[in-house]
Amino acid sequence: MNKKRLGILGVITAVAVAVSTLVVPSATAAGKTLVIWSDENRAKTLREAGASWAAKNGVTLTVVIKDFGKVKDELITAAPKGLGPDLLVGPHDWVGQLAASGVLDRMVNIDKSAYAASGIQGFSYKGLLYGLPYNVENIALIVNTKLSPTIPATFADVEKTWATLKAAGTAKVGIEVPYGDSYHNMPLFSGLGGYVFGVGAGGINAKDLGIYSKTFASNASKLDGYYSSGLISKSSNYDFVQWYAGKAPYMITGPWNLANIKKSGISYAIASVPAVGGTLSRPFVGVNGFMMSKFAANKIVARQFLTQVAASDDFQLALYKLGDRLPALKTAAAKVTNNPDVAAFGAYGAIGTPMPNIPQMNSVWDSWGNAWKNVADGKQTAAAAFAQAATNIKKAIS
Amino acid sequence: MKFGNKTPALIAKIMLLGALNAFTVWCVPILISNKTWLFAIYFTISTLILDYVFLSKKRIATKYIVPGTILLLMFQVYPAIFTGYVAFTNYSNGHFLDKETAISVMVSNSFAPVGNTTNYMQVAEDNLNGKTTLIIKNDDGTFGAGTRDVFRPLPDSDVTLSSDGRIMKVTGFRTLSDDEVFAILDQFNDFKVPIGNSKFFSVTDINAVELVEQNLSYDATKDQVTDILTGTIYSPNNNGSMISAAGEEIEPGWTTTVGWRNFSKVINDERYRGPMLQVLAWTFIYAGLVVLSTFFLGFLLALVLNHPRMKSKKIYRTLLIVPYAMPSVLSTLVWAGMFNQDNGIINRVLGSPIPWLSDPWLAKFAVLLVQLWAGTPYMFLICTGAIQSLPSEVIEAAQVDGASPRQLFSKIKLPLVLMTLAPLLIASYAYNFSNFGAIYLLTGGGPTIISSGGIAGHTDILISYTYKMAFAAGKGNDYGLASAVSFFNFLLVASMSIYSFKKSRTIENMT
Repeated sequence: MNKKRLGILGVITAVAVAVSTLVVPSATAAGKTLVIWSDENRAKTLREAGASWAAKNGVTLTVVIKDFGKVKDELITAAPKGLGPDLLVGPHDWVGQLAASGVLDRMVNIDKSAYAASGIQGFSYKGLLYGLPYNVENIALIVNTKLSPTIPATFADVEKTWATLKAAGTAKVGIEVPYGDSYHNMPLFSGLGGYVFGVGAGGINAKDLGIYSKTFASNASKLDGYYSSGLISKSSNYDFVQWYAGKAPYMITGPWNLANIKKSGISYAIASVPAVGGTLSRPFVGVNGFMMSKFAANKIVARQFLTQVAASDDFQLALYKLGDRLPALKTAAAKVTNNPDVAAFGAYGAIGTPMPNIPQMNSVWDSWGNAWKNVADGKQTAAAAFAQAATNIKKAIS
Repeated sequence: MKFGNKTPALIAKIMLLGALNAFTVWCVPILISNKTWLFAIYFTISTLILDYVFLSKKRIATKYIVPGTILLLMFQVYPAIFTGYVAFTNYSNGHFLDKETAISVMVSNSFAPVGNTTNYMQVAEDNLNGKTTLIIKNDDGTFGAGTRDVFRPLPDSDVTLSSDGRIMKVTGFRTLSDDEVFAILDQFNDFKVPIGNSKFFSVTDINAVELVEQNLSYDATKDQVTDILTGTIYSPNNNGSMISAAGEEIEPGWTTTVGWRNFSKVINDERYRGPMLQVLAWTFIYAGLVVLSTFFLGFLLALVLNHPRMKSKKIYRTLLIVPYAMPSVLSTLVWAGMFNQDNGIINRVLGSPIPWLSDPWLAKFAVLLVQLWAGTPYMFLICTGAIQSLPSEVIEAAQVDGASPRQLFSKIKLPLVLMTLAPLLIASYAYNFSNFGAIYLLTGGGPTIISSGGIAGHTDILISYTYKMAFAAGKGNDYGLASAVSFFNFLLVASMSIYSFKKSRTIENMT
């Protein structure tokens, strides 16, 4: 046998071996399967909660851990090729981009009245519901009850408490709210009559931009006053240093800081931000939930998981334990009785507006945040800063 | 069989080729099942060529060229061509699907629930033709049998119910058990029974249907989508969307070629042109300043550490290589942490919250400083090499002629070093021109240039701007536009490289 023949023989053998390994993967494709894409934090709970259901119904449940920041892009490219999941877990503000790209399927068999209104509103896009919410979260006013023994009912109370404490030298700032952060400043902003996008019958209207609404324009000078009086300060950030040092009667933050607040030993109360101007001070509400791929391989099983597992009190309570966020399912939320903090956040969230889920929101954050920074830095008056932000945003989304 | 001293090489060859073939045989069917024909064909042909070339005794030169060429085509040429193609499409948020899929999604999204009720249903099989049929309970309690084509009422006497109201038997049909239904579950992903007036019973669960009404229909011959209720007609526009005469658009759109529009957007649309020019200017300045500053410092250090009277040169040289030896991804992230306004070590030492990364000018300074730190060792190395290879006769001759050290430096050493290093400096310029990690990991391109609608930042260079445009900005991802911008980037870097090659050729000719 010459060398050439030996070589060919070797190649052929290798080919044969490779062919024999081929048969294996195709054989396991049949049967009931359900693939869920989830971030790392929730994957374990999903697997545990889904295990008994999957076993009972003979479903092979696969929870695939995905990098939270990349899920959207991956879904958009993988799903139409049939490589996507049946369900995915994510926040409601993904819905606009995903639905506009045609990769989400609407929910059916969902009793909308059983969920927090903001949860349903958050997952609705152009009149259709694209997600099953499992929790809602929002910020609220955290009161240092030693500095402010009464919970402020009006914004005048807030200002009065600050004026008194300032005069006495016991506080350095009135309300700690992170510098330049539109999300945390939203209660003040909406309280002064501002909003991001108007909501009409057909859903969110991107043409109705309220960053410099008429009401806000007439109230804007108040905001300048708050900075000059020191009620709010540019030196506040996500560390809320003054509040934790007992030098600020109020701060605006969310349930993710509950553990720190408790650890600080400061006596606190969680309250609503009182109406600043004539309108209610509404926080943004973030909603988390399940979405279904338009190209799901097994929609019936996916829907069964949603109605039988995700929409159950037990499951929503299991996810609640992960992070102190109020379940979106009303019956499950009602069972959270032993945690007044979560209930207090929820009470304020009830008047909140879901963060806009339309893709145009991406063009809002930077300009809007910059307006806050400029006002805080004293570079621009609130009127000028927000008018400019509104112009920039309109230009970007036109 | 006789084994010569070439046998080990032969065995190695067989094993490598065998592994290659095994890989191809393993992955081609997968590629075919994913319908990625291009790669399936490419892998097959490449493998055959490699087998042929390496099993032949001749073609020595080909053996050297072919593997590299195959990889070059796949990892360089193909992505470049693909990017070029994408630059001429509207591949972006809302336009990711092909036209057929996009239209089917539009139509399927338009099936709106009527009321909010579901009807009980049992899956059965028609005894006559074996077709899957749904036995559906109407709102008035009567039953009907529905397929994808037709819905016909059943006489009540045909249906036998259990005591709890479940369908047990239907004359002319065989009812399927739940397990049997599960076995054919994929049929029900999109199973709609037409009941007239563009209303349908749509399967939502193994024994439930929902009454839905179709709002949009597609006419393939006219290529139009019609709103069944209002009669509004939507026709395709040149941007891959169905659009009505009033300008109303149906989501989603599809991917289509748009000619030079992405390029013209970059040049003509002030929302892109302004930031793009600013980014471009900064890219040139940034790359220039990095090369100048690192070269200056590196050269200075090389001179100092070459001085005969300098002690412990080895220790200094080793220390100087450390920033170069450290992975730049890691060190850039460390620097980003040190510059952090609230918790960074720099501000803690200085005791004041300096907005290093959020002030436009300070961020630019920070980016340059980090590159000075990371880039100097390289310049130090090549300058040391260049200085040590300077012809000593020339220097001695100059010294004999009475040149002062300053003259020696500016008239002899610097010109000679610059001449040898010119191509490397140009290459370094081109490298920094597209040094994505240096910018993106430190500042993310920020702080944002507000007038750019949140995409471009004050420290963005062309490549990070492109990346943000493609993956992280505006109304979502605009791959088409990003590809067009990266084409400009390619033009600039390519012309720099050509210039660099020419330059090194002239130097070769001189020596």
